Formats: sequence, C-alpha cells, structure tokens
Amino acid sequence: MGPNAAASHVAASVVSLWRDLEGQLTPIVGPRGVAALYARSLYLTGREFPWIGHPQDGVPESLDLNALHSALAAQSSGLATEGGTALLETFQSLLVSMVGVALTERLLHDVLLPSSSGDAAQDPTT
Amino acid sequence: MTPPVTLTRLATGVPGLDTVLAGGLPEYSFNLIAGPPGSGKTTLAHQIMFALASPARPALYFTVLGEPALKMLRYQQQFAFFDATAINTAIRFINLSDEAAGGDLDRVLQRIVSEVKAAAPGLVFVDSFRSVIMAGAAEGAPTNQLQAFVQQLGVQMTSWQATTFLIGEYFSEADANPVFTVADGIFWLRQSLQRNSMVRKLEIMKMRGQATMPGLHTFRITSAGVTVFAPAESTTTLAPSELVLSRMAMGVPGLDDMLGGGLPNGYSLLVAGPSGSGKSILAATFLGEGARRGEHGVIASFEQNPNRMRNPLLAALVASAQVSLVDSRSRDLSIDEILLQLLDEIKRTGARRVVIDSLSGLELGLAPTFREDFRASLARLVFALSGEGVTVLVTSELEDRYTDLRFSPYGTAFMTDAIIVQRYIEVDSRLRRMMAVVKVRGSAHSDELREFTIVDGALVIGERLASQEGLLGGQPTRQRGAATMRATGTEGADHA
Repeated sequence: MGPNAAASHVAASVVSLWRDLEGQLTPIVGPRGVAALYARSLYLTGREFPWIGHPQDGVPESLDLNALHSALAAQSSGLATEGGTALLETFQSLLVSMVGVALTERLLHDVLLPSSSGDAAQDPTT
Repeated sequence: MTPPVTLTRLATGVPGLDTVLAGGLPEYSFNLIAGPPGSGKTTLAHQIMFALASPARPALYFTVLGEPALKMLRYQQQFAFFDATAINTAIRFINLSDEAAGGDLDRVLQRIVSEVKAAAPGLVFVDSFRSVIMAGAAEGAPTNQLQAFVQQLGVQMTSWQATTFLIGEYFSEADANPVFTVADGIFWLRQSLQRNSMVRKLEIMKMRGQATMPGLHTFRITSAGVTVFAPAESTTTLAPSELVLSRMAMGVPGLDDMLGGGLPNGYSLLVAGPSGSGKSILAATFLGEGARRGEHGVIASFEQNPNRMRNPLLAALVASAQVSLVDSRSRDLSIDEILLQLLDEIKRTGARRVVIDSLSGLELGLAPTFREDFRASLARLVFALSGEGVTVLVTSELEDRYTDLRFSPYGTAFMTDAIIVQRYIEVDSRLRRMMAVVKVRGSAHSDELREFTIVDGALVIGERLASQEGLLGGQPTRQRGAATMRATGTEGADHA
C-alpha cells in the first residue's frame, strides 16, 4: 500500500466510525444536536491539527464527512490517524462534559470508543 | 353478567403521588403534565419513566423541539432516579425535531405511530407537546386539525396499550382546550411566588375512574427527584377512653400532680409563655422522661440551630438517638411537609412523644403563602398527630399581656387537649416565674398558680403563691389575711 492509499484507508475507517456515531446519536439528540457537537469538536481539534478543517459557517445542519475524508486522506497515514483519533476523543470528552461518563458510554453503546475511565457499564440483564 | 374490567394501577415511583392519585396511575391512561416553564414537568415525567420502564415494559421518550434533548439529559442525569444503564434497553429517546420543524402534525403523528408499532412500548412520553402545537399553528393548522391530531394520538396510544404522557407548557387552564377533553388524567404543576419565596404545587385536575385527592399538594424537587407531600391520613383509631386511662409522666416533679396524675396518653398539650420562661426546657424534660422510660421521642425544633443546641439535655437525647430531630431547616416549608416528616419518623421509630418547639418558629419557617391559613393548617397538624396516638407537646411564644388573658397568639388554645401557661410576675421587685394548668380535657386538674425556678437547666416547681393575689395581672398584691387563693381568671380561660 502506498502512502496515499494508507491515509485513504484511515480516512475511510474514521468516516465510517462517524457515520455510526451519527446514526446512534441522531435519533436521540436530533441531526442539529449532533451537528452542533461535531462543529464544536472540529473547532477544538483544529487548534492542534489545523488541517482537519473548520466548522461550516452559520448554524450547522449536518456533518460534512466528505470534507473530513478529504482532509484525512491528504495527510500521511500517521498524522491522519492522530488527527482522526483526536477528533473522536474530543467529541467524546465533549459529550462526557455534557451528560457524564455513564450516559455517554450508554449513548455510544454500539460505537464503543476506548475510554480512559475503564469499561462501559453493562446491563447485566442483557 | 361478566364482572367489569379492573384497571391496573401503576406505582409512579414519586413519593406521595400515588396517595394523591388514590392508588396509582391507571394503566393505558392518556395523561397531560402541564405547567409553566421550570415547574418540574420534565423531571416528573423522567422520574415516572425510570420507575416504570423495564425491558418488559419499555418506554419511548419523544423530544420535540422545545428543550434540546442533550440539555434535557444533562440536567436529568443528575437525579438519583436517572439510571444510565436503562437507556437504549428499557428506555429509548427519539428526537422528532425534523418532523416537527415542518409544522406538519400528520408527519409527527406518523412517526410516533410507526415508532410505537416497532417498539411496542408500555410507556410513551411526548415532550414538549406545546412545541407540536406551536409548530402546527405556525403552518396555520386550524384548531380542529390539532384536536383531530390529539384525538388520533389518544386513540392510537390506548389501542397500542401504552400509558402515555404529553408534557407541555399549557396555555391558561381557563382555556377550554380540546386536549383537556381527550386526556384521561391532567397533572397541573404550579409555582406560587410570594415575596422571595417559591412553593411548588401539584394538582390532579382530572383522573378518569379515580377519586383523587382534590386541591393543591405541595412538592419539592431535590437531588432525589420529586416528592409530593400528600395530606396525611390518620391511621390509628383509638377510642378516647382507652387513651385517658393511661397517663404520661412529664419529668418535672410536681407537674404530674398539677395535671391530675400526668398528661393523658394521646393528648396534645400547649405550653404557652413569654420568651425565656422555660418552655423549651419543659419540652426537653418531657422527652427526657420518655427516654428514661424507653419511649422514643421526635422533635421538630424551629428555635435553635440543631448544630448548636442550647439545651444540653436535648442535645444528649438527640446524640444518643433516643430522640429524632426532624429537619426543619429547609426554606419555604409547608405544614404537610413537616407533618409527613414527623409521621415518617414516628412510624420508623415507634415514638410515643412528639414536641413542636415552637409555633412561632414554625410560622416563620413556613412559606409566606401558607401563613395565611396558619390556624387551619395547625389544627390539621395537631389532629393528625393525635390521630396517630402519640402525645404531643407544642410550645407557643406568648407576649406577656396583663390586660387580657391569652394563651396563644393564633387562637390555637381550642385545638389542644391541655394547656399549661407560664408567666413572669413581679414580687418584691424581683422577676419571678409562675405556671398554672389551665385545662386538661375530661380530667380534674389543679387550679393553683405555682411559682417555679430553673435550676441547672431543670424546672423546679415551688409553692403555691398563696399570699399573693392579682398574679395574672402581673402586679400581685399581698393578700390581707386571706389564706385561700383566688383563682383569678383561670375559670373558662381556655375559651380565651
């Protein structure tokens, strides 16, 4: 795999994760709710990784995942992994700051991200 | 004939609410939770949902514009009832902002119905319903379309066997809104503001098929969630004769004799007197005597900071758990809240002796809105406690007046079964204390005015002030040769 192909692969994985996240959260907080969180995460991550992109102008309506894919694919695979992970972690921290660890892990149940706070609380009845 | 269908009643998980609902929430009922912003609608809905939802009875919570869902979760997850593990298993949140944004009520209904069909929930919440209506109104949806929508929703939810709640900031209650007609139950939450105090009240305006408790019931929201203070109902029905048979020792030597052999069991006693006359000491001694006899006591003290209790006897009794201290430091109390705390503690500990110290402090602790009908509330408090069969001692600050005989500032004397009055008198240029038993219902008692002193924090009853007269006027004079005491003004004093 060439360097660009590797970065493309990383971009595709990251974007796929975002689609899962979006699918998981949209029913609960609405498309604009997810878009607002994504825009904020992009803004925060952009301070360390300026290449990752900027939030859209105006009220965010949706996640521009095509833009994210392009931004990631244009980096080296190492940098793309680093930036992509940072964006996901920022998003997760943001959600934790809003609703706490337990509820965040519950909301992202099927897209479980490795969390610094240990295992997600599991429902013993399922 | 087949017997009628019995409605299953669901326990709401909100302390006091099932009592107000006369046994719980009817299953498959279609309910409104209405009230102004900040009145606790969403919290009440969440608390009920977390109590009732289970994998076998899943809940769907539809959020429609209004409060952003994330923000709602942010605040709700702070409450003790919020169980994150129930999310996405027993409870699913569904955001309808897309459907509602278009203002098409049909789309909202379609989505709700299809989600309900897919999930077969036992509980459905729509929050906030006002947003649905406003979205409809923006598109110029006529009122009858709205009515049709609500009716449709009601029919659908009942047919799908879902207990449903519409949560919303409803218009004025005077509004003959079609929603009110369709609903089986209406929970109306209010906030009553007076000066800088705020009291939350709940009213069940309607509940089909149930004789709910009428009127406004105060409730409080704490980190545990909503607690409704339902009016307490008396549980004990002891015949008065059974109670009078036994007597309680007061712990003050000589006082039992004055009362005709102690305070009859189950009686309420008012101790009235000016500031510093020794009412709280008498109350503490009463509890101390109970503790000595193995009887638990409960005190609601509004006079002293519990952390710096001035009465060492009381402090020791509380420290040794022989007396429970009811927390009366919350702001904006209602009589129902205090009464429920007292009754809970009485039930928990099997207490026989209860003290309220004092009425003046209690009145100050109440929210201003409750002070207006203080007398009526107080009567309810005293009667409810008597109904429990406990013996109650209530102290009351009494301004020293020498022109008229009064035993309490609230006209409360008639409420209690017995009255002891304490007063200051001037004798030989000294301020001295005297006390008398004014009334013991259905019992003979002393009519003596006895001097008393406070020695090392204890009341010591002295001699009858035989050589003085005009004591109740505050300026006694030495009797001229008379050996007997004129019981000035004590006759019929309980009518004062």
